[in-house]
Amino acid sequence: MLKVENINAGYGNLQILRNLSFEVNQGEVVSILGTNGAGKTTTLRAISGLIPIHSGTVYFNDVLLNKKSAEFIVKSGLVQVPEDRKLFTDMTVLENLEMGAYTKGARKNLKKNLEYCFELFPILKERIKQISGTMSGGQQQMVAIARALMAEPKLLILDEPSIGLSPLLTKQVFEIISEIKKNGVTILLVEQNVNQALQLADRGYVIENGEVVMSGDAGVLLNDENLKAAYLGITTEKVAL
Amino acid sequence: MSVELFFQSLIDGTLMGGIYGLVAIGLTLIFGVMKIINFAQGALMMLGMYVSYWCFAILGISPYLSLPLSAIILFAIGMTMQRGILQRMAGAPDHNQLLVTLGITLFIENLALVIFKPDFRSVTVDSLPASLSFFNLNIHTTKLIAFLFAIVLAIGLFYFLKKTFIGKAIRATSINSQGASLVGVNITKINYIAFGLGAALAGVAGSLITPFFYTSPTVGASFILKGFVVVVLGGLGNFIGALVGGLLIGISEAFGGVLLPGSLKDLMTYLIFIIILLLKPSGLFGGKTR
Repeated sequence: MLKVENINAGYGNLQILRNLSFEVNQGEVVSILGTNGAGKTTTLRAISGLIPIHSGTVYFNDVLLNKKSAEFIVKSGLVQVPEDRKLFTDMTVLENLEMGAYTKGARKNLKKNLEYCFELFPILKERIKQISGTMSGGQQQMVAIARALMAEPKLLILDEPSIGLSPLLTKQVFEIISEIKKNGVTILLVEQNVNQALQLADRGYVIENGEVVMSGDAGVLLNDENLKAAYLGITTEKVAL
Repeated sequence: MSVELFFQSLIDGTLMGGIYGLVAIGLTLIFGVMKIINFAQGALMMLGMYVSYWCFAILGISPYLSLPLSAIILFAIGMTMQRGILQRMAGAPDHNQLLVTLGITLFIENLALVIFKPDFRSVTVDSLPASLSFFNLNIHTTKLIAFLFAIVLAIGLFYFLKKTFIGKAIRATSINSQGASLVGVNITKINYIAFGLGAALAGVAGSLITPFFYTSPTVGASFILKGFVVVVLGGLGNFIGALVGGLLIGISEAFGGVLLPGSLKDLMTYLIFIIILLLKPSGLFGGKTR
Protein backbone atom coordinates (compact mmCIF):
# COMPACT_ATOMS: atom_id res chain seq x y z
CA MET A 1 0.00 0.00 0.00
CA LEU A 2 2.72 2.42 1.08
CA LYS A 3 6.17 1.70 -0.22
CA VAL A 4 9.01 3.95 0.86
CA GLU A 5 12.34 3.26 -0.81
CA ASN A 6 15.72 4.78 -0.02
CA ILE A 7 14.47 8.24 0.82
CA ASN A 8 16.82 11.01 1.81
CA ALA A 9 15.35 14.11 3.38
CA GLY A 10 16.05 16.78 5.96
CA TYR A 11 15.82 20.44 6.80
CA GLY A 12 17.88 22.85 4.73
CA ASN A 13 21.42 21.51 4.61
CA LEU A 14 20.82 19.16 7.49
CA GLN A 15 20.18 15.65 6.30
CA ILE A 16 18.06 13.61 8.68
CA LEU A 17 16.90 10.58 6.74
CA ARG A 18 19.47 8.34 5.07
CA ASN A 19 18.27 5.80 2.52
CA LEU A 20 15.28 4.97 4.64
CA SER A 21 13.01 2.19 3.38
CA PHE A 22 9.92 0.55 4.74
CA GLU A 23 6.51 -0.55 3.61
CA VAL A 24 3.01 -0.86 4.92
CA ASN A 25 0.60 -3.43 3.49
CA GLN A 26 -3.15 -3.10 3.27
CA GLY A 27 -4.88 -3.85 6.58
CA GLU A 28 -1.71 -3.83 8.67
CA VAL A 29 -0.71 -1.84 11.68
CA VAL A 30 2.95 -0.99 11.27
CA SER A 31 4.90 0.71 14.00
CA ILE A 32 7.96 2.90 13.62
CA LEU A 33 10.01 3.05 16.78
CA GLY A 34 12.98 5.06 17.83
CA THR A 35 14.28 7.50 20.40
CA ASN A 36 13.95 11.26 20.26
CA GLY A 37 15.71 12.67 17.24
CA ALA A 38 15.93 9.34 15.42
CA GLY A 39 14.01 10.75 12.45
CA LYS A 40 10.54 9.36 13.06
CA THR A 41 8.64 12.62 12.69
CA THR A 42 10.84 13.70 9.79
CA THR A 43 9.92 10.47 8.01
CA LEU A 44 6.24 11.27 8.39
CA ARG A 45 6.68 14.88 7.34
CA ALA A 46 8.46 13.73 4.19
CA ILE A 47 5.73 11.22 3.34
CA SER A 48 2.98 13.78 3.93
CA GLY A 49 4.64 16.31 1.63
CA LEU A 50 5.47 18.83 4.35
CA ILE A 51 9.19 18.70 3.58
CA PRO A 52 10.81 17.87 0.23
CA ILE A 53 12.34 14.48 -0.46
CA HIS A 54 15.81 14.81 -1.99
CA SER A 55 16.03 11.33 -3.41
CA GLY A 56 14.27 8.00 -3.22
CA THR A 57 10.64 7.17 -3.86
CA VAL A 58 7.39 7.07 -1.96
CA TYR A 59 4.63 5.07 -3.62
CA PHE A 60 1.13 5.03 -2.22
CA ASN A 61 -1.16 2.58 -3.99
CA ASP A 62 1.27 2.70 -6.90
CA VAL A 63 1.12 6.49 -7.17
CA LEU A 64 4.44 8.31 -6.80
CA LEU A 65 4.03 10.90 -4.05
CA ASN A 66 7.49 12.49 -4.09
CA LYS A 67 6.71 15.83 -5.68
CA LYS A 68 3.04 15.93 -4.84
CA SER A 69 1.53 18.62 -2.64
CA ALA A 70 0.37 17.87 0.90
CA GLU A 71 -3.14 18.51 -0.36
CA PHE A 72 -2.90 15.86 -3.10
CA ILE A 73 -1.53 13.37 -0.60
CA VAL A 74 -4.48 13.88 1.74
CA LYS A 75 -6.88 13.48 -1.17
CA SER A 76 -5.29 10.20 -2.15
CA GLY A 77 -6.12 8.81 1.30
CA LEU A 78 -2.92 9.19 3.27
CA VAL A 79 -3.84 11.23 6.33
CA GLN A 80 -1.62 12.17 9.23
CA VAL A 81 -2.31 12.98 12.86
CA PRO A 82 0.77 15.10 13.55
CA GLU A 83 2.81 14.93 16.69
CA ASP A 84 1.84 18.33 18.06
CA ARG A 85 -1.72 17.80 16.77
CA LYS A 86 -1.78 21.07 14.84
CA LEU A 87 -5.39 21.68 15.79
CA PHE A 88 -7.23 24.82 14.82
CA THR A 89 -7.14 25.92 18.42
CA ASP A 90 -9.38 28.97 18.08
CA MET A 91 -12.08 27.00 16.32
CA THR A 92 -14.72 24.77 17.85
CA VAL A 93 -14.53 21.00 17.95
CA LEU A 94 -17.17 20.80 15.24
CA GLU A 95 -15.30 23.26 13.01
CA ASN A 96 -12.11 21.26 13.43
CA LEU A 97 -13.91 18.10 12.36
CA GLU A 98 -15.55 19.88 9.44
CA MET A 99 -12.15 21.07 8.31
CA GLY A 100 -11.01 17.46 8.48
CA ALA A 101 -13.54 16.74 5.75
CA TYR A 102 -12.18 19.53 3.56
CA THR A 103 -11.44 17.39 0.51
CA LYS A 104 -14.30 17.06 -1.94
CA GLY A 105 -14.72 13.32 -1.50
CA ALA A 106 -14.82 13.53 2.27
CA ARG A 107 -17.17 16.51 2.27
CA LYS A 108 -19.92 14.42 0.69
CA ASN A 109 -19.87 11.98 3.60
CA LEU A 110 -19.42 14.62 6.28
CA LYS A 111 -22.57 13.74 8.25
CA LYS A 112 -21.95 10.01 8.21
CA ASN A 113 -18.31 10.38 9.22
CA LEU A 114 -19.23 12.81 11.96
CA GLU A 115 -21.55 10.18 13.43
CA TYR A 116 -18.75 7.64 13.24
CA CYS A 117 -16.35 9.98 15.04
CA PHE A 118 -18.89 10.65 17.77
CA GLU A 119 -19.32 6.90 18.22
CA LEU A 120 -15.59 6.52 18.70
CA PHE A 121 -15.28 9.63 20.86
CA PRO A 122 -18.58 10.26 22.67
CA ILE A 123 -16.95 13.08 24.64
CA LEU A 124 -16.51 15.10 21.46
CA LYS A 125 -20.23 15.05 20.83
CA GLU A 126 -20.79 16.63 24.23
CA ARG A 127 -18.07 19.21 23.56
CA ILE A 128 -19.08 20.01 20.00
CA LYS A 129 -19.22 23.77 20.61
CA GLN A 130 -16.10 23.99 22.74
CA ILE A 131 -13.09 25.89 21.44
CA SER A 132 -10.60 23.10 20.87
CA GLY A 133 -7.66 25.01 22.33
CA THR A 134 -9.35 25.06 25.74
CA MET A 135 -9.56 21.27 25.98
CA SER A 136 -7.26 18.94 27.88
CA GLY A 137 -4.36 17.27 26.09
CA GLY A 138 -6.16 13.95 25.85
CA GLN A 139 -9.28 15.51 24.43
CA GLN A 140 -7.22 17.51 21.94
CA GLN A 141 -5.61 14.28 20.82
CA MET A 142 -9.08 12.85 20.28
CA VAL A 143 -10.04 15.87 18.20
CA ALA A 144 -6.85 15.42 16.16
CA ILE A 145 -7.57 11.74 15.50
CA ALA A 146 -11.23 12.44 14.73
CA ARG A 147 -10.25 15.25 12.37
CA ALA A 148 -7.99 12.86 10.48
CA LEU A 149 -10.76 10.24 10.31
CA MET A 150 -13.08 12.84 8.79
CA ALA A 151 -10.79 12.86 5.75
CA GLU A 152 -11.64 9.19 5.13
CA PRO A 153 -8.09 7.85 5.33
CA LYS A 154 -7.06 4.66 3.65
CA LEU A 155 -3.83 4.86 5.58
CA LEU A 156 -3.91 6.68 8.89
CA ILE A 157 -0.57 7.90 10.18
CA LEU A 158 -0.35 8.60 13.88
CA ASP A 159 2.68 10.46 15.21
CA GLU A 160 3.14 9.68 18.89
CA PRO A 161 -0.53 9.78 19.80
CA SER A 162 0.30 8.97 23.42
CA ILE A 163 2.75 11.81 23.93
CA GLY A 164 2.00 13.81 27.04
CA LEU A 165 -0.97 11.67 28.00
CA SER A 166 -1.56 9.93 31.31
CA PRO A 167 -1.26 6.11 31.30
CA LEU A 168 -5.03 5.82 31.50
CA LEU A 169 -5.59 8.10 28.53
CA THR A 170 -2.81 6.38 26.63
CA LYS A 171 -4.61 3.09 27.12
CA GLN A 172 -7.83 4.67 25.85
CA VAL A 173 -6.11 6.09 22.79
CA PHE A 174 -4.60 2.70 21.95
CA GLU A 175 -8.01 1.06 22.35
CA ILE A 176 -9.43 3.53 19.89
CA ILE A 177 -6.62 2.88 17.44
CA SER A 178 -7.35 -0.85 17.51
CA GLU A 179 -11.03 0.00 17.00
CA ILE A 180 -10.10 2.04 13.92
CA LYS A 181 -8.00 -0.87 12.68
CA LYS A 182 -10.99 -3.19 13.00
CA ASN A 183 -12.91 -0.86 10.74
CA GLY A 184 -10.49 -1.58 7.95
CA VAL A 185 -8.12 1.38 8.12
CA THR A 186 -4.45 0.61 7.63
CA ILE A 187 -2.34 2.29 10.30
CA LEU A 188 1.20 3.56 10.52
CA LEU A 189 1.95 4.23 14.15
CA VAL A 190 5.00 6.12 15.30
CA GLU A 191 5.69 5.72 18.99
CA GLN A 192 8.19 5.93 21.78
CA ASN A 193 5.84 3.86 23.86
CA VAL A 194 7.44 0.67 22.55
CA ASN A 195 5.54 -1.96 24.46
CA GLN A 196 2.09 -0.67 23.75
CA ALA A 197 2.88 0.12 20.15
CA LEU A 198 4.27 -3.34 19.46
CA GLN A 199 1.36 -5.05 21.17
CA LEU A 200 -0.97 -3.33 18.76
CA ALA A 201 1.20 -3.56 15.66
CA ASP A 202 1.68 -6.42 13.20
CA ARG A 203 5.18 -5.35 12.25
CA GLY A 204 7.68 -2.81 13.37
CA TYR A 205 10.70 -0.85 12.19
CA VAL A 206 13.33 0.62 14.45
CA ILE A 207 14.92 3.86 13.28
CA GLU A 208 18.20 5.25 14.53
CA ASN A 209 20.00 8.28 13.08
CA GLY A 210 17.64 8.39 10.13
CA GLU A 211 18.19 4.78 9.13
CA VAL A 212 16.22 1.58 9.66
CA VAL A 213 18.35 -0.56 11.95
CA MET A 214 15.92 -3.36 12.68
CA SER A 215 12.62 -4.60 11.40
CA GLY A 216 10.39 -7.58 11.83
CA ASP A 217 7.23 -8.99 13.32
CA ALA A 218 5.99 -7.04 16.28
CA GLY A 219 6.00 -10.13 18.48
CA VAL A 220 9.64 -10.82 17.75
CA LEU A 221 10.69 -7.21 18.32
CA LEU A 222 8.71 -7.07 21.51
CA ASN A 223 10.72 -9.90 23.03
CA ASP A 224 14.08 -8.73 21.77
CA GLU A 225 15.81 -7.34 24.83
CA ASN A 226 18.83 -6.40 22.75
CA LEU A 227 16.75 -4.11 20.64
CA LYS A 228 15.48 -2.23 23.62
CA ALA A 229 18.88 -1.92 25.15
CA ALA A 230 20.66 -0.92 21.97
CA TYR A 231 18.24 1.40 20.29
CA LEU A 232 15.46 2.43 22.55
CA GLY A 233 17.31 3.11 25.75
CA ILE A 234 15.25 0.70 27.82
CA THR A 235 17.96 -1.12 29.72
CA THR A 236 16.49 -1.93 33.05
CA GLU A 237 14.33 -4.67 34.46
CA LYS A 238 11.14 -5.89 32.86
CA VAL A 239 8.74 -3.17 32.00
CA ALA A 240 5.55 -3.66 33.92
CA LEU A 241 2.46 -3.91 31.81
CA MET B 1 -17.75 71.13 25.51
CA SER B 2 -21.44 71.33 24.90
CA VAL B 3 -23.66 68.26 24.79
CA GLU B 4 -24.33 68.85 21.13
CA LEU B 5 -20.67 69.11 20.25
CA PHE B 6 -20.03 65.95 22.22
CA PHE B 7 -22.60 63.98 20.29
CA GLN B 8 -21.59 65.58 17.01
CA SER B 9 -17.99 64.46 17.56
CA LEU B 10 -19.16 61.02 18.60
CA ILE B 11 -21.16 60.65 15.40
CA ASP B 12 -18.43 62.00 13.12
CA GLY B 13 -15.84 59.81 14.78
CA THR B 14 -17.97 56.69 14.60
CA LEU B 15 -18.70 57.19 10.92
CA MET B 16 -15.03 57.68 10.07
CA GLY B 17 -14.09 54.84 12.40
CA GLY B 18 -16.12 52.41 10.31
CA ILE B 19 -13.87 53.19 7.34
CA TYR B 20 -10.70 52.79 9.40
CA GLY B 21 -12.14 49.50 10.56
CA LEU B 22 -12.67 48.35 6.98
CA VAL B 23 -9.07 49.19 6.00
CA ALA B 24 -7.83 47.46 9.13
CA ILE B 25 -9.91 44.33 8.54
CA GLY B 26 -8.20 43.94 5.18
CA LEU B 27 -4.79 44.35 6.83
CA THR B 28 -5.60 41.93 9.60
CA LEU B 29 -6.97 39.33 7.20
CA ILE B 30 -3.73 39.36 5.22
CA PHE B 31 -1.63 39.35 8.37
CA GLY B 32 -3.65 36.54 9.92
CA VAL B 33 -3.28 34.19 6.98
CA MET B 34 0.16 35.02 5.65
CA LYS B 35 1.82 36.69 8.64
CA ILE B 36 2.78 39.48 6.26
CA ILE B 37 2.26 43.10 7.18
CA ASN B 38 1.00 44.61 3.98
CA PHE B 39 2.29 48.15 3.66
CA ALA B 40 0.63 48.40 0.26
CA GLN B 41 -2.86 48.39 1.79
CA GLY B 42 -2.99 52.22 1.63
CA ALA B 43 -1.82 52.27 -1.98
CA LEU B 44 -4.44 49.67 -2.87
CA MET B 45 -7.05 51.84 -1.22
CA MET B 46 -5.87 54.75 -3.36
CA LEU B 47 -6.31 52.59 -6.49
CA GLY B 48 -9.86 51.84 -5.35
CA MET B 49 -10.47 55.57 -5.06
CA TYR B 50 -9.23 56.11 -8.61
CA VAL B 51 -11.44 53.33 -9.96
CA SER B 52 -14.43 55.14 -8.54
CA TYR B 53 -13.11 58.55 -9.54
CA TRP B 54 -12.62 57.61 -13.19
CA CYS B 55 -15.95 55.82 -13.32
CA PHE B 56 -17.48 59.05 -12.06
CA ALA B 57 -15.42 61.43 -14.20
CA ILE B 58 -15.71 59.52 -17.47
CA LEU B 59 -18.96 57.61 -17.20
CA GLY B 60 -20.77 59.66 -14.58
CA ILE B 61 -21.33 56.59 -12.44
CA SER B 62 -21.84 57.15 -8.71
CA PRO B 63 -19.14 55.62 -6.48
CA TYR B 64 -21.76 53.42 -4.85
CA LEU B 65 -22.38 51.77 -8.20
CA SER B 66 -18.71 51.44 -9.10
CA LEU B 67 -18.09 49.80 -5.73
CA PRO B 68 -18.34 46.22 -7.04
CA LEU B 69 -16.03 47.07 -9.94
CA SER B 70 -13.51 48.50 -7.51
CA ALA B 71 -13.75 45.33 -5.41
CA ILE B 72 -13.22 43.06 -8.42
CA ILE B 73 -10.30 45.04 -9.86
CA LEU B 74 -8.56 45.27 -6.51
CA PHE B 75 -9.19 41.59 -5.82
CA ALA B 76 -7.42 40.81 -9.07
CA ILE B 77 -4.55 43.20 -8.29
CA GLY B 78 -4.16 41.75 -4.80
CA MET B 79 -4.14 38.20 -6.09
CA THR B 80 -1.60 39.11 -8.77
CA MET B 81 0.61 40.76 -6.18
CA GLN B 82 0.51 37.63 -4.06
CA ARG B 83 1.03 35.31 -6.99
CA GLY B 84 3.66 37.29 -8.83
CA ILE B 85 5.70 38.72 -5.99
CA LEU B 86 4.92 37.70 -2.43
CA GLN B 87 4.54 33.99 -3.11
CA ARG B 88 8.15 33.98 -4.24
CA MET B 89 9.10 35.54 -0.93
CA ALA B 90 7.39 32.84 1.12
CA GLY B 91 9.79 31.61 3.78
CA ALA B 92 11.99 34.71 3.54
CA PRO B 93 12.62 36.60 6.81
CA ASP B 94 9.66 38.74 7.92
CA HIS B 95 11.43 42.06 7.53
CA ASN B 96 12.28 41.25 3.89
CA GLN B 97 8.63 40.51 3.14
CA LEU B 98 7.71 43.77 4.82
CA LEU B 99 10.24 45.67 2.69
CA VAL B 100 8.81 44.10 -0.43
CA THR B 101 5.31 45.37 0.37
CA LEU B 102 6.84 48.78 1.11
CA GLY B 103 8.55 48.67 -2.28
CA ILE B 104 5.28 47.77 -3.97
CA THR B 105 3.68 50.75 -2.21
CA LEU B 106 6.30 53.16 -3.54
CA PHE B 107 5.94 51.67 -6.99
CA ILE B 108 2.15 51.94 -7.08
CA GLU B 109 2.15 55.47 -5.66
CA ASN B 110 4.71 56.76 -8.10
CA LEU B 111 3.07 55.03 -11.01
CA ALA B 112 -0.16 56.74 -9.96
CA LEU B 113 1.67 60.08 -9.82
CA VAL B 114 2.88 59.59 -13.37
CA ILE B 115 -0.39 58.37 -14.81
CA PHE B 116 -2.99 60.25 -12.75
CA LYS B 117 -0.92 63.41 -12.00
CA PRO B 118 -0.64 64.73 -8.45
CA ASP B 119 -3.90 66.70 -8.71
CA PHE B 120 -6.45 66.46 -5.95
CA ARG B 121 -9.67 65.26 -7.45
CA SER B 122 -13.12 64.98 -6.01
CA VAL B 123 -16.34 63.15 -6.64
CA THR B 124 -19.71 64.65 -5.89
CA VAL B 125 -22.90 62.77 -5.26
CA ASP B 126 -25.61 65.28 -6.20
CA SER B 127 -28.59 62.98 -5.95
CA LEU B 128 -28.37 62.88 -2.16
CA PRO B 129 -28.93 65.63 0.42
CA ALA B 130 -25.57 66.73 1.80
CA SER B 131 -26.56 66.06 5.38
CA LEU B 132 -29.34 64.89 7.62
CA SER B 133 -30.24 66.80 10.74
CA PHE B 134 -31.54 65.52 14.06
CA PHE B 135 -31.73 67.60 17.23
CA ASN B 136 -29.19 70.14 15.92
CA LEU B 137 -26.84 67.33 14.94
CA ASN B 138 -25.63 67.07 11.38
CA ILE B 139 -24.87 63.74 9.82
CA HIS B 140 -23.06 63.77 6.48
CA THR B 141 -25.07 61.52 4.21
CA THR B 142 -22.09 60.18 2.30
CA LYS B 143 -20.23 59.40 5.52
CA LEU B 144 -23.28 57.66 6.89
CA ILE B 145 -23.59 55.55 3.74
CA ALA B 146 -19.89 54.71 3.84
CA PHE B 147 -20.24 53.68 7.47
CA LEU B 148 -23.27 51.50 6.79
CA PHE B 149 -21.50 49.84 3.86
CA ALA B 150 -18.47 49.21 6.05
CA ILE B 151 -20.60 47.59 8.75
CA VAL B 152 -22.52 45.44 6.26
CA LEU B 153 -19.27 44.35 4.60
CA ALA B 154 -17.70 43.54 7.95
CA ILE B 155 -20.72 41.43 8.92
CA GLY B 156 -20.69 39.78 5.51
CA LEU B 157 -17.02 38.93 5.93
CA PHE B 158 -17.59 37.48 9.42
CA TYR B 159 -20.38 35.35 8.00
CA PHE B 160 -18.17 34.22 5.12
CA LEU B 161 -15.36 33.27 7.49
CA LYS B 162 -17.65 31.51 9.96
CA LYS B 163 -20.00 29.64 7.68
CA THR B 164 -18.43 28.75 4.36
CA PHE B 165 -15.87 26.02 3.79
CA ILE B 166 -13.48 28.44 2.12
CA GLY B 167 -13.92 30.92 4.96
CA LYS B 168 -13.24 28.26 7.54
CA ALA B 169 -10.20 27.18 5.56
CA ILE B 170 -8.93 30.77 5.68
CA ARG B 171 -9.35 30.83 9.46
CA ALA B 172 -7.82 27.38 9.81
CA THR B 173 -4.82 28.46 7.74
CA SER B 174 -4.35 31.55 9.86
CA ILE B 175 -4.45 29.47 13.05
CA ASN B 176 -2.22 26.61 11.89
CA SER B 177 -1.15 26.50 8.28
CA GLN B 178 0.56 23.10 8.54
CA GLY B 179 -2.53 21.67 10.17
CA ALA B 180 -4.54 23.10 7.30
CA SER B 181 -2.35 21.50 4.65
CA LEU B 182 -2.66 18.19 6.51
CA VAL B 183 -6.44 18.24 6.06
CA GLY B 184 -6.02 18.95 2.37
CA VAL B 185 -6.27 22.74 2.21
CA ASN B 186 -4.31 24.23 -0.68
CA ILE B 187 -2.43 26.90 1.24
CA THR B 188 -1.23 28.68 -1.89
CA LYS B 189 -4.79 29.10 -3.08
CA ILE B 190 -5.94 30.32 0.33
CA ASN B 191 -3.13 32.89 0.26
CA TYR B 192 -4.33 34.18 -3.10
CA ILE B 193 -7.88 34.46 -1.87
CA ALA B 194 -6.92 36.11 1.42
CA PHE B 195 -4.67 38.65 -0.28
CA GLY B 196 -7.29 39.29 -2.94
CA LEU B 197 -9.98 39.80 -0.29
CA GLY B 198 -7.74 42.09 1.75
CA ALA B 199 -7.02 44.20 -1.33
CA ALA B 200 -10.69 44.22 -2.30
CA LEU B 201 -11.60 45.53 1.16
CA ALA B 202 -9.04 48.32 0.75
CA GLY B 203 -10.48 49.12 -2.69
CA VAL B 204 -14.03 49.24 -1.39
CA ALA B 205 -12.97 51.45 1.50
CA GLY B 206 -11.33 53.74 -1.06
CA SER B 207 -14.44 53.89 -3.23
CA LEU B 208 -16.63 54.62 -0.22
CA ILE B 209 -14.63 57.68 0.85
CA THR B 210 -14.38 59.32 -2.58
CA PRO B 211 -17.53 61.45 -2.04
CA PHE B 212 -16.00 63.19 0.99
CA PHE B 213 -12.24 62.71 0.65
CA TYR B 214 -9.92 64.10 -2.02
CA THR B 215 -8.52 61.50 -4.36
CA SER B 216 -4.77 61.82 -4.94
CA PRO B 217 -1.88 59.40 -5.49
CA THR B 218 -0.51 59.78 -1.96
CA VAL B 219 -3.79 59.63 -0.07
CA GLY B 220 -3.08 56.08 1.09
CA ALA B 221 -0.27 57.10 3.43
CA SER B 222 -2.52 58.68 6.05
CA PHE B 223 -4.85 55.70 6.01
CA ILE B 224 -2.18 53.05 6.20
CA LEU B 225 -0.75 54.64 9.35
CA LYS B 226 -4.20 54.72 10.97
CA GLY B 227 -4.78 51.21 9.70
CA PHE B 228 -1.68 49.94 11.48
CA VAL B 229 -2.63 51.70 14.68
CA VAL B 230 -6.10 50.16 14.48
CA VAL B 231 -4.81 46.68 13.78
CA VAL B 232 -2.27 46.75 16.58
CA LEU B 233 -4.82 48.28 18.93
CA GLY B 234 -7.35 45.55 18.21
CA GLY B 235 -4.80 42.74 18.30
CA LEU B 236 -3.07 41.57 15.14
CA GLY B 237 -5.11 39.04 13.22
CA ASN B 238 -8.35 39.75 15.07
CA PHE B 239 -11.35 40.88 13.01
CA ILE B 240 -13.60 42.14 15.78
CA GLY B 241 -10.58 43.90 17.25
CA ALA B 242 -9.98 45.66 13.93
CA LEU B 243 -13.54 46.95 13.79
CA VAL B 244 -13.64 48.06 17.43
CA GLY B 245 -10.15 49.56 17.10
CA GLY B 246 -11.28 51.44 14.00
CA LEU B 247 -14.23 52.96 15.83
CA LEU B 248 -12.05 53.86 18.80
CA ILE B 249 -9.48 55.61 16.60
CA GLY B 250 -12.19 57.38 14.60
CA ILE B 251 -13.88 58.68 17.73
CA SER B 252 -10.64 59.72 19.43
CA GLU B 253 -9.62 61.55 16.28
CA ALA B 254 -12.92 63.42 16.16
CA PHE B 255 -12.64 64.47 19.79
CA GLY B 256 -8.99 65.37 19.30
CA GLY B 257 -10.02 67.61 16.42
CA VAL B 258 -12.54 69.42 18.59
CA LEU B 259 -10.68 69.65 21.87
CA LEU B 260 -7.10 70.25 20.76
CA PRO B 261 -5.52 72.86 18.54
CA GLY B 262 -5.42 71.83 14.88
CA SER B 263 -1.84 70.64 14.69
CA LEU B 264 -2.29 68.46 17.79
CA LYS B 265 -5.45 66.70 16.72
CA ASP B 266 -3.79 63.32 16.32
CA LEU B 267 -2.37 63.56 19.83
CA MET B 268 -5.50 62.01 21.30
CA THR B 269 -5.37 59.05 18.91
CA TYR B 270 -1.79 58.16 19.63
CA LEU B 271 -2.14 58.83 23.34
CA ILE B 272 -4.94 56.27 23.50
CA PHE B 273 -2.85 53.93 21.39
CA ILE B 274 0.14 54.20 23.70
CA ILE B 275 -1.95 53.81 26.85
CA ILE B 276 -3.70 50.68 25.57
CA LEU B 277 -0.42 49.14 24.46
CA LEU B 278 1.09 49.89 27.86
CA LEU B 279 -1.79 48.18 29.62
CA LYS B 280 -2.34 45.39 27.13
CA PRO B 281 0.64 44.93 24.79
CA SER B 282 -1.10 42.27 22.69
CA GLY B 283 -3.92 44.67 21.85
CA LEU B 284 -7.51 44.84 23.03
CA PHE B 285 -8.47 41.45 21.65
CA GLY B 286 -4.92 40.17 21.35
CA GLY B 287 -3.80 36.57 21.44
CA LYS B 288 -6.69 35.18 19.47
CA THR B 289 -6.94 34.71 15.74
CA ARG B 290 -10.61 34.95 15.06
